[in-house]
Amino acid sequence: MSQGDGTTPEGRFDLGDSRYLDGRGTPEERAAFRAGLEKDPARRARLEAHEEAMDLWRADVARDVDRIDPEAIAAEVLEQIQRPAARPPRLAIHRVWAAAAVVLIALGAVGTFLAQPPDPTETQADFRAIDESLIEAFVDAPETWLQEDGGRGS
Amino acid sequence: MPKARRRAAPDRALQDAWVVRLRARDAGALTEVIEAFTERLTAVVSGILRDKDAVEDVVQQAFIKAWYRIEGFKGGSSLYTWLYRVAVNAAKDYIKSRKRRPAVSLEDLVVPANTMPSRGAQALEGLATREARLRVRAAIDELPLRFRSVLALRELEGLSYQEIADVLDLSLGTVESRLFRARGRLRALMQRAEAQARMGRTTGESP
Repeated sequence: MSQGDGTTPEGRFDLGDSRYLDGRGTPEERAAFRAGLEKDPARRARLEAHEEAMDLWRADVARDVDRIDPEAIAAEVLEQIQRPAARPPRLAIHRVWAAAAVVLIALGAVGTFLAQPPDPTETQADFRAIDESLIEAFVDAPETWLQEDGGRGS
Repeated sequence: MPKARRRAAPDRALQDAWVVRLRARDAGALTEVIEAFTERLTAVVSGILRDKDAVEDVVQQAFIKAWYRIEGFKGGSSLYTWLYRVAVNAAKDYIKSRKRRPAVSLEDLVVPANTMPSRGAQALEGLATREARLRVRAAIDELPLRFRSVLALRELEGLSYQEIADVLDLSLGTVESRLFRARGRLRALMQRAEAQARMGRTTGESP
């Protein structure tokens, strides 16, 4: 984002700056960028400030890297994965949910088996009543039929 | 030009052999992988996390997750970019679990001039460098996580755009855009911090 005189607004980082820092662009583009830096002190100062900040960040991070001991990390990690009950946290959570789901399904199945199904329209009750009347009729039937047969046969 | 530490990645054949051995649950391979990658993962995790005390734990968690999830490694990328991904995700998980962690603010790092010890120019320079380092750190910690991650991979580890895209599962254009925006935001934060530091010194020097 250059201004009319080829310089860039002071302080503002632009895409060209970022690409240059990352070594992007053709050799010609990079040469042109470097030539532009000579005429644009604000941009040069901006890039230098960024580099200084990154150097300080790297120094800060290097302190953490220096403190860490890969052998100690390895020992700790191996100890954790070799514990008999060791499971990755997410797998452990999945197991809990799976167990809970199995219990719920079992409870549902038992409940369904034990409970009487609802009969809001009383259809089942009507059928039961018909069944009972048929049974009664059947029980009474032989006598009647015998009587009727006997009457005819005699 | 960036002066990021660009450590040569282990040979691809060696990485592939580690994958095979890890899948066969070879703990010796895990030890070798930890020794080869601890420094790299520590640098990235340290760059992302504000909580320095958590860095070692998160790196450990990353290796443990890698051990259990190696079956999910498709092999489309190299083992080392996959390990970076696991580490970045472990750092993100840690941040999510500690969302309301207090951060060091830029204002806390302004040291008024009249509180500085005057023990010679060298001591003063050391203090100034430390102050500048902490100011940079605080500015980086104020960046959104998506910017901090991409900047850490680029500036601390020197990963290429393609490698960063693989690690963070982004397009190349998004990587370029995020780096640009991260640097722009960081520049603005640094300018604000420097202005506050100057104001603090001026206030400290006034009678």
